Amino acid sequence: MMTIPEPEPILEDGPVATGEQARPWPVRFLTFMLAIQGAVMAVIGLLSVDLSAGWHALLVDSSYFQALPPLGVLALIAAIGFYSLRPGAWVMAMLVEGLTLLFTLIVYFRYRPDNVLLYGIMVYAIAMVVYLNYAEVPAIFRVQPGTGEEELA
Amino acid sequence: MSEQDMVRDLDLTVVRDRASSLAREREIDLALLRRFEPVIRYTRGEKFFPMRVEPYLRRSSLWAQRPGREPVALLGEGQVSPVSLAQPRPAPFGTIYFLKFITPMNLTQLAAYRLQTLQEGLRRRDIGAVFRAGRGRLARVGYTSRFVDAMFQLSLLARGRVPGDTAAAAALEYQMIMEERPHYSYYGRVVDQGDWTVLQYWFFYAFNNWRSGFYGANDHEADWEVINIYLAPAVGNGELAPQWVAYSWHDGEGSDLRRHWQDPEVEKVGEHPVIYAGAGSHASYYQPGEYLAQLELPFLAPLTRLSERLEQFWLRTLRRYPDEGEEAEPPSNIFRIPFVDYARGDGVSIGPGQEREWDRPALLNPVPGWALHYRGLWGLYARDPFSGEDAPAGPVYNRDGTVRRSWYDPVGWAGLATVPPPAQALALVLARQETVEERQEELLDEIAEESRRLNGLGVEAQAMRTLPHLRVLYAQHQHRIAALAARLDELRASYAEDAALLEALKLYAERLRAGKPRDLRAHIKHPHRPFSDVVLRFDRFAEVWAAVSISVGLLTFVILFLFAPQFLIWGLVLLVSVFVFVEASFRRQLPRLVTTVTVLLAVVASLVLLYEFFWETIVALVITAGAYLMWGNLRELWS
Repeated sequence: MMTIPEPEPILEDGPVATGEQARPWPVRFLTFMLAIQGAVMAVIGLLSVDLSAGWHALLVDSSYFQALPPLGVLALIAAIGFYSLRPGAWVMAMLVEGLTLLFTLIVYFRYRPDNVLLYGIMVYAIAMVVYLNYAEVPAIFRVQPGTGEEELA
Repeated sequence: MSEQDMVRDLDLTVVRDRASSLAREREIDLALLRRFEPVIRYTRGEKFFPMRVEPYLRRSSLWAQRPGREPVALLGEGQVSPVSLAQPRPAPFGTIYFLKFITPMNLTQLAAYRLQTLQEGLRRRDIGAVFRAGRGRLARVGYTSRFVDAMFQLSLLARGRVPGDTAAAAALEYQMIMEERPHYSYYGRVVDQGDWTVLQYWFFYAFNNWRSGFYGANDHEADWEVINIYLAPAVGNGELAPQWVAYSWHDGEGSDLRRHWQDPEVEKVGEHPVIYAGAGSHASYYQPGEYLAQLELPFLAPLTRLSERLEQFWLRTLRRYPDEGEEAEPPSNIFRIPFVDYARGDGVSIGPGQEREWDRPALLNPVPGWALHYRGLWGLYARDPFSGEDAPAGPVYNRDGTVRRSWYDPVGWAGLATVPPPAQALALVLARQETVEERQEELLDEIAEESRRLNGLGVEAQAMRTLPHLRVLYAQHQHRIAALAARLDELRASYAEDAALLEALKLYAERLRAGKPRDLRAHIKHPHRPFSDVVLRFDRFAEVWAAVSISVGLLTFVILFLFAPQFLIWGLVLLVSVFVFVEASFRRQLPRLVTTVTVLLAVVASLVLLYEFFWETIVALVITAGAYLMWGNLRELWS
């Protein structure tokens, strides 16, 4: 006799699903990238607190990078959300990239710095936005249309 | 009896017969009209109802506006009648005739009227008869629309318009007309067009007070509205029965106006369709509710088209499809001015079995002189460049004197020209099937003939191929072969298309024979839906914000400009950001806002990078493309 498999549970307020199988490759990749982004931004921000200190001044030449740690924390929170497939994680990740881009653009238009690091952050954030909008990524955080369920993301 | 007497008697008999036949026809028309006459449900606070034109004309004067001149009165109040209106009046090109129903009140009269209305309201405690707008129209649209609306309101000060107290004076005049002889009446017309019998119901109102009474787009003297019911012999008994109905709203035309008689959207009381009339505008709707009407200003039309194209690019090319549930909001364009047409149906109801019944209708068959010969406006010519404040022309004509399509082609007006009456549909499908089959037989013969010719040419070409002295002839043959092959290809494609068409016709014929229900709403491209309660989720604060936001924005701009010009740019950026954030919060569209803004920032950042590192970007792109191609090829090699 043929058995009908039970449907995957979709939780309204909690995670979309649990387990390694429900965590596709793009999610794992973005989790990693967000975590890296968060850690790097936090470190750069913390290093730039005291510009008179030694070697890191070669890398970071302005104090505006002090604004990065909060963004880094947000990116880490988004990474955790992505890892646990929280419903709002995708929007959170987009928000982090939006804020990062806003920061880099404000710095660019205000100070016109000749800082490779700033452009590097810009490129990274653009790449993240492109990948976050790659069709299958937002789809993971939504329910199938027509089921009558609320959108999760 | 002399021969002359006999001829005279014969003529009289013919005339009498014709007269009685005409009278009989009129009675039949009247019976048909009365059988399906509509029920109209109005919104609370509606002041004007369908009436006869005679009392309106008695209280009007007739004017002519010649080009470059001041308007002159041709007939004074009391002199205008259906007969005098129909008189021919030669005039130079560009002359506009118009009626003037209202002489604006002075301040004392206006105050007296307001006091009287207030007293009556208090005496009757008829609070329910008062209109309450509810959710503001501005809360339903974005900032640009609100800004355009603010400009439109200000423009009323400069352009021609119906004076503010005119609506009050018109209400008073209408009240007096109703006190003289209370009546609710419509004009009926029966038209045979093709295989359809169209019942037209024309409603004449003394005044349209949409703007002054219901926060709408315009006020104007006189208003003509129409609905059509399309009758055709029913399948089976062959009796004339309603098949379609079309209501007019705001100069709309085409299939979107039309609903099938069996469509659940068409509410009926017995055999009488129900119309929900827009408050003040008198536009006709199928369902009660509040409808978003959008006014397009002619000089903003290019911007409107551009924004529509951008929206299409955003939705289709960038695939930014709306989320589930978002489509419930009617589409709005930021360069159109939003107005709400309140058609709640919670006020007076007129029609069979209602609190107020129709009087015996007046017939427009044959067309009376006042409708046919008077091409002018039925109320004040306000010289409004947008025409919204100018009165409409009569039932036959548009404002510019051309004949209304709803008059000369009621079937085409509702997009019914391509729809056969149901009793004839099957016969028509079978006839088309027969035609296509005949065409296919002809095509088959032609294909066989051309194939033979092509084979013959092919054989000849084969024979010539190894003979060098026939080189020129061979080349000519090749040309002929190519042309014939193309022709044959065309014939075979036509045959294949016809086969598909024939299949579709056969299936359709089967469906018709089986009497299977079809999609009654397939023809509707833009259903005019009211706002649902689900969509109306704004609280009072959101409405207040919508009402004051543009003024607050302008005020902040002025303050920044005067007192802190050094922060003007950043101040404005902050102001716009706060406005956008507040609005998105009210509309529960913060996630969408975040996505949109982030994508825009990514675009800007990409442009910055391209500007700063143009050649480096090109080199990086080339390297990436090369690496990608190499990776793909190597994978193919190793797999």
